[in-house]
Amino acid sequence: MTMKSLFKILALLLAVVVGQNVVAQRRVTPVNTPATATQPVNENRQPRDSMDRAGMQKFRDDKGNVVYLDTITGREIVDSSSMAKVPPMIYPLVFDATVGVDVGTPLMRALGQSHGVSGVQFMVNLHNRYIPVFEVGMGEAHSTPAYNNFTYKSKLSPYFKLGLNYNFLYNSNPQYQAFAGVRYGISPFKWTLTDATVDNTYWGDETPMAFPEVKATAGYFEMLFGLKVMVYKNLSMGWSVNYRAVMHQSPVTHGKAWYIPGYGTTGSPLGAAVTLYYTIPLNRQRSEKNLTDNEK
Amino acid sequence: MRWRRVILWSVIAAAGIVAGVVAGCNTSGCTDNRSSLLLAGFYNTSGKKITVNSLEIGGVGAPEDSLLVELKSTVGQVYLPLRSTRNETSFFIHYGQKGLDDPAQNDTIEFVYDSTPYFASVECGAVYNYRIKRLSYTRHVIDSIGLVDSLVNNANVERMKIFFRTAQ
Repeated sequence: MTMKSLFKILALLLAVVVGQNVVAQRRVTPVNTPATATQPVNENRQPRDSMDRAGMQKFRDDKGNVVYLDTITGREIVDSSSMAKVPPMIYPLVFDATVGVDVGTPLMRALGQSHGVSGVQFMVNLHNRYIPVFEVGMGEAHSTPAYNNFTYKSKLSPYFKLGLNYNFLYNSNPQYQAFAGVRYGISPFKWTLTDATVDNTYWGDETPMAFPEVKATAGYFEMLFGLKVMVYKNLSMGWSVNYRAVMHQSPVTHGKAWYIPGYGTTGSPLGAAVTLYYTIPLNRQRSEKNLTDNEK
Repeated sequence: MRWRRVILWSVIAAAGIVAGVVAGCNTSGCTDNRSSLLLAGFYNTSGKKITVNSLEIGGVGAPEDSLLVELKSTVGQVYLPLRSTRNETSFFIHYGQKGLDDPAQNDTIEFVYDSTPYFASVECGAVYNYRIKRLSYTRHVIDSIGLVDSLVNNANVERMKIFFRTAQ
């Protein structure tokens, strides 16, 4: 064995010894403390906080709750585990479907309003709380302002609205609703001005304006608040006020439309509607059962 | 039951209010011009706004030589009405000061433009909007003309600056 080999063996032995020392430093400390000693202690606990049900009288109060009576102290404890649980929504998922007809606009047309036709709403009442709404309708305008130089015409055109109502009285009688809602509406329509003249007094020109028919598309947003009340059997009436804004309109080369079907006139951000509803009950029996169960 | 009454009466009341409000809605007046006019402001060569009282401004070919600005009227701006029946309009400026009151010293401004029918609003009505394609002018007293915006609509905004060579 050469000296070189001897050094190699010594170096290997030294490494093994050092490794043994490192392993030897690792220790496992067993936990001998019982769990009860590590748990927090309620220092405010009183001897009377615990009750022995065996020594108590049990009865039901007028609300149907199970009540334990400590006959010595007269203390009454309601058994919360046996209390009737109030469901967050007592009406079934698909509760009813409603068709609503805009009666306010035709009424206003009859009274002299120069725009609007009517629309029909289709609603599905979910839990008497969330009410998706789809509305389709028609609109047109024919207005000649007495103080101006044109007749505004918008041909009979459709509009579509999609949105949701939220009924604040969702656990109350479904024949009465107070709701807030949102809508997005869109309408492809055509509009033009006729009999428009430009009075250029200085040049002595009073020329008829050849205004083109503008084919436009407008989208708008509405936030609304309304009330609905049963009138007779499945017939209800309601009104709503809305705040609205045109989100997009094209083209605007010849100006922005004064009237947008389903939106109304663009002069004011506020609108209103009066609607007649017919409700088709879908799960009324289930909802009555829910109500009965809840009252038990 | 209280809710029912509240809602029922509110529906009845609201139907009446809605009918009244909508029927009573009125349009407010037009806050802009009822036609598209080119508003030009007067400036000296250092860019300072000036008023003048010795100018006559009129349209070239206007009926009965009618004027937009008469001599001795003090003005700092002038509305220039472009002709909707044509695609070019010219205006002249006649100076009333001594030494300049020769018609040969008049300045002329000429506009070439496209006109588009435009529905301004239900209150302001239908107007023509003009897009100026070319502006040319003589430079007897006028130093230069700056066109701020080539679109002329019914908004009451100064779209053109006329810089005069003045003694001020």
